[in-house]
Amino acid sequence: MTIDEHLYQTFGFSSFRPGQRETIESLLGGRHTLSMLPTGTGKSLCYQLPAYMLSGSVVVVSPLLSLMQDQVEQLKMKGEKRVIALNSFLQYKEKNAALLRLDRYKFIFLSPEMLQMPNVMQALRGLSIALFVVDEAHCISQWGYDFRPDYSLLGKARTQLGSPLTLALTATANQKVRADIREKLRLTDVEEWVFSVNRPNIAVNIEMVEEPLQKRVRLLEWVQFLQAPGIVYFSGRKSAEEAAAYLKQHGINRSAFYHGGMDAGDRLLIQHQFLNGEIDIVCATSAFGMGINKENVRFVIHYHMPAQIEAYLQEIGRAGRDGKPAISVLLYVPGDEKLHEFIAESEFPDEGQIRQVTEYGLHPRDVQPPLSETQLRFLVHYAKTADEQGQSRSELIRDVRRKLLEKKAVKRVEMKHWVESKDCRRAAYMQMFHEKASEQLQCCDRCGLDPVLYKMKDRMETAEKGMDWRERLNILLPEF
Amino acid sequence: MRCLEAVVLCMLKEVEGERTASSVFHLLKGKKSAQTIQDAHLFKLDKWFQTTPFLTMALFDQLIEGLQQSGCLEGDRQRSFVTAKGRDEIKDVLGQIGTFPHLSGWKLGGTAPLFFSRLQLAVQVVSHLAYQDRTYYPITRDEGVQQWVKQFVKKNGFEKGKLAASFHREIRFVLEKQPEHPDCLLLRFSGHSQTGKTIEQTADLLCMEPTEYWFRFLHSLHAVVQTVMNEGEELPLLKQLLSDITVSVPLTESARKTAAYLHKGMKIEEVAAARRLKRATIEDHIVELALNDPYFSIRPFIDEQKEAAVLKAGGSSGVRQLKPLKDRLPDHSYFEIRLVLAKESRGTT
Ligand SMILES: Nc1ncnc2c1ncn2[C@@H]1O[C@H](COP(=O)(O)OP(=O)(O)OP(=O)(O)O)[C@@H](O)[C@H]1O
Ligand SMILES: [Mg+2]
Ligand SMILES: [Zn+2]
Repeated sequence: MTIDEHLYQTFGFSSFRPGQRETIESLLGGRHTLSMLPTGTGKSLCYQLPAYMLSGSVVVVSPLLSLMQDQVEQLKMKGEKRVIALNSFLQYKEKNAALLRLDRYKFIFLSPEMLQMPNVMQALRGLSIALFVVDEAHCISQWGYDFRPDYSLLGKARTQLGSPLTLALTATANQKVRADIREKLRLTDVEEWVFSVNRPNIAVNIEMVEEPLQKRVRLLEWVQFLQAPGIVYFSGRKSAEEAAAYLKQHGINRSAFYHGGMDAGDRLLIQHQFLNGEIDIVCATSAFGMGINKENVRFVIHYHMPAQIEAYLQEIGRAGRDGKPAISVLLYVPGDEKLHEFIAESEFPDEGQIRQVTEYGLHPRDVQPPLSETQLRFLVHYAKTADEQGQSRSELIRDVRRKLLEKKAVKRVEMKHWVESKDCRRAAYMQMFHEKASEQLQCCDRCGLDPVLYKMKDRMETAEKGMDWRERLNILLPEF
Repeated sequence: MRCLEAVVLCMLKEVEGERTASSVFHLLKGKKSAQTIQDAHLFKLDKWFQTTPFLTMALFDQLIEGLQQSGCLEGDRQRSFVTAKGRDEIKDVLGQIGTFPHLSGWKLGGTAPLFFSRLQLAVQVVSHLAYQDRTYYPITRDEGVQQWVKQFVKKNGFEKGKLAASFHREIRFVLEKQPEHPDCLLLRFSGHSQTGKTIEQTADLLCMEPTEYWFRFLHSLHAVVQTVMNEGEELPLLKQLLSDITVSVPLTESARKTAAYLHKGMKIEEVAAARRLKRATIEDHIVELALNDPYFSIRPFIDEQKEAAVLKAGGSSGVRQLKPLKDRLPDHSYFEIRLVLAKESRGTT
């Protein structure tokens, strides 16, 4: 079969989206490939399709457990049974059983820390690996959005696996980050396919708001005005919950909140309700969206300014995946960036916590107050790095922490300038990726755009109240 | 006052003067420590054991502070007392909501969540089968549960329509029997073209305060599990869902190890030496075993006469304070008294 026949017969699509063909042909030609394709355009297809044309397994490294699970479920739903996710949540017994018969799987999803485990590596070395995929590859770079220290070990793992054919995927990586990806993955001879970060069907609107309290009012007005479904992003869990309650109080019934502090089961339910169109507004933190494939999201609102432009682009990228017009609205109050200063600090262990590990020799898990997952990873990773390099733990850890905080500050300032600039929003964000602007209609608030185009046409209502439970049961499990 | 606060007050009342406020927290969380396991029985608080998975120490601290500020609780964390106002509040809140007679955290704390997880997925799968709809995402990502339900459907799914109908009848039967509004459970199920509601959302739809909903949900679930346990013959499908859930009695890992040594015929001192633990710790384990293991004999550690003496001195009448008993039994060690009390309270659950 040709790749076009595969596209149609295996995936049911009639044409490739920009960048897909180029990436796939490059891989089938046996070349390591780094592809930057805009958010939501179908990066997954770039490894899924070749999987069926190459013999051997496809190993996919993914930064987030939930993202991995979403991808496994999506493949399974398409009828592919030979998929597995190896992560730290897998029970010991299940994992060992899976490792024994790893060659039965076409798609093996892994978190980076799994590649640190000797038994996993051993099982992988026994496989013939057709393709080694690094999804969200920008996580490898300290300059990238969502830097993950353990991604930096992927290069070594890749070498240990015999440097298999490699595909690095990202939607947001400027030149610096792309250079980092090549270096860290030890990709010397690599074909790069860089497509625009621009998503022309998403209008960019930034709205200056005088003071924080007024934001709620504006949010409500926007949500009442815009065609749903939509996502509203917040920088904190509490503000997401409060806004969701506020919207509910004002008659926006089909709304809910979503954040990492919720029970995993509840999170899944909200995700399913949103996918099935049972709710159409989700007030969320950045934990929501990655890996969720909803085609018809019509707006994304940012209640707080994101920490950096890449985060902003990823998040608005969840709108308009069907290619139809969508709008993003950012509500900005001067001083919003302060919040991120605080959040950035809290992503790292503080002085006292660092000292407990470096000076008193405590295990990071026993540190008081307890470390968050991110803080723990950070400490463990750099304590190990220091040991390996024969450096002082405390010096190295403090040093890295300071450098990373500085980088975040730089990105924050860049974002703030973008928000405050008088120029075309789109031209400016494209410029940050060294792209030339393209003129278009419905571009941004600076070039002029007409919100009426995004006005609500139909809003669904729910009528589940008042149903008798027997009726409900009968719908759920018909008694024929 | 929320239902959760009333429950905490109600528990604090039972332990007041004898245990710290934190002991109530450990009970609610189902901590597998000798102390907590004993407390559950001694103070007859076993129904609340392991009933609030959502509670954190920070939330609990806040809650206690709130109770102190509102004058429902006095004293400090070490020794708190429920005030008259606090008692009125308990009556007020739990008087309205009820005291959840079927709740049985001790017995079902481990079983019920797994049963519910299987039930949720089984309902979802069977519902989609009935509508011949194959495109949906499973309601749980627990691989173990997914595998289990797959087998379950394979085994029972010979006639697809029939499976939905039988399932329907069994679920209706248990829902009609349990004490809460059937929607407390029903709204939580996903099926063809409808997604289950979260705890928050269900509480909202039923116009309940969320923690009240939580306890009602659990109450209902425990009642259902008990019905299935007792009337399994009429409920073949639900019985299967429960069948191979092995609930081990909550024992601390350490007590388990001690039990293994005792089994080999070792004496307390020998076990202590072998495990490099204090004698008192080993004694704690033995009390824990006496409390939990119905086949554990206390005879090697106390003879019949001494046991009878403890019972006579009041050990059978629900006296929980050791000091007065010890005063009446100068020749008994605290360990011996605790052992007898432990065995006695085991009899009641
Ligand atoms: N050639 C195609 N034609 C039509 N739809 C496609 C095509 N390729 C992929 N899609 C669909 O596009 C959607 C997005 O795909 P995917 O999740 O792979 O995007 P992504 O680029 O990885 O997004 P993200 O930036 O969120 O990581 C999916 O629903 C997928 O089925
Ligand atoms: Mg992707
Ligand atoms: Zn513009």
